[in-house]
Amino acid sequence: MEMKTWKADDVFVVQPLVKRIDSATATDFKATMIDYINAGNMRIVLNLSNVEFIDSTGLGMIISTLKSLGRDGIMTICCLSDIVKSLFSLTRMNRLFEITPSVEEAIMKAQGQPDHG
Amino acid sequence: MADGPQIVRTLALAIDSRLEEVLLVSLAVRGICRYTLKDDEVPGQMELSVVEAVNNAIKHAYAGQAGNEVRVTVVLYGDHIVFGVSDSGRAMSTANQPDPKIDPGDRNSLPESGMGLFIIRSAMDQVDYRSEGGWNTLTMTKYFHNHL
Repeated sequence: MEMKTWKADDVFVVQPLVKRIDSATATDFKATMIDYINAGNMRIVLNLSNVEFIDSTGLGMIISTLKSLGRDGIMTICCLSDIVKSLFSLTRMNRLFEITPSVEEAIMKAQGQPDHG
Repeated sequence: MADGPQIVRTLALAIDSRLEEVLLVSLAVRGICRYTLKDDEVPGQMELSVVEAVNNAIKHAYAGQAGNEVRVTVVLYGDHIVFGVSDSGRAMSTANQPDPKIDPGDRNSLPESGMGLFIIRSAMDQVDYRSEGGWNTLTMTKYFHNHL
C-alpha cells in the first residue's frame, strides 16, 4: 500500500495515500505496517487524513497492528473523517486508541508528552 | 385504517461477488444518503452498514468465490430508508451471534474480525434476516427522526 512516512524524533508517522482501507485493501495495509514494526518502529502515528472510509476489516487490521506492537509499543491515530470517526465510536474502539484531531498532537501523545492546557 | 408510508424511490443494484466491486455499492449508497440527509454522521453509518452486509455476503455466503450475484436494494420512504442485501449462497448462521467483547485494557483480547453485524445492529434501527426462494436477505431500516 502506498504510504507517506517520516520520523519526528523517535516517532514514526505513517500516512496512507489511499481513500479506503477496506476488505479489498486491508491485507496490503497490514503487511506494510508489519514491515514498519519489524524495522524497529515502536512509536507510530497513523495519520488518516487521506482516508475517507474504513470498514470492519480495515479496523481489524489496525487492531492487529496495535497487537503486533506488543506491550511496549504505542500507536496513536489522527485526522479522522466523519465516517471513520463513526466506525471507531460504533465499535467503541475510540476507548482503546488515542485519537487526536491533528498530527502534531498525535506525535506528542506517542512521545508520551501530556496535553497542553 | 391509516395508509402505509408512501414509497418515494427505489433503486436496485447487483454486483459480482468480488470485494473490489463493493466500492461501487458504497459510493451509490453514499450519494443517496448524503443527498437525502443533512446530518453528517448518519449517512456514513448507513454506507458502512451496507458495505458490511455486502462483505458478509461475499466472504461468508459465497466463501469469497467470485462469479456469484449480490443484490442491493434501496427503498426511500418519507420518514425512513430500507436497504436489502441478498445472496444465493450459504445462509448466515451467525445472525444471532453475540456482540464482540471489547476490553480496552487487554489488547490481546481485542477482536480483529466478526464486527460487521455488531456495526449494523448498532447503526440501524431495525435489522431482519430471512432466507426465501433460494435467496438470503438482510434487511436494514433506518428512521430519519431528526436527521432530515
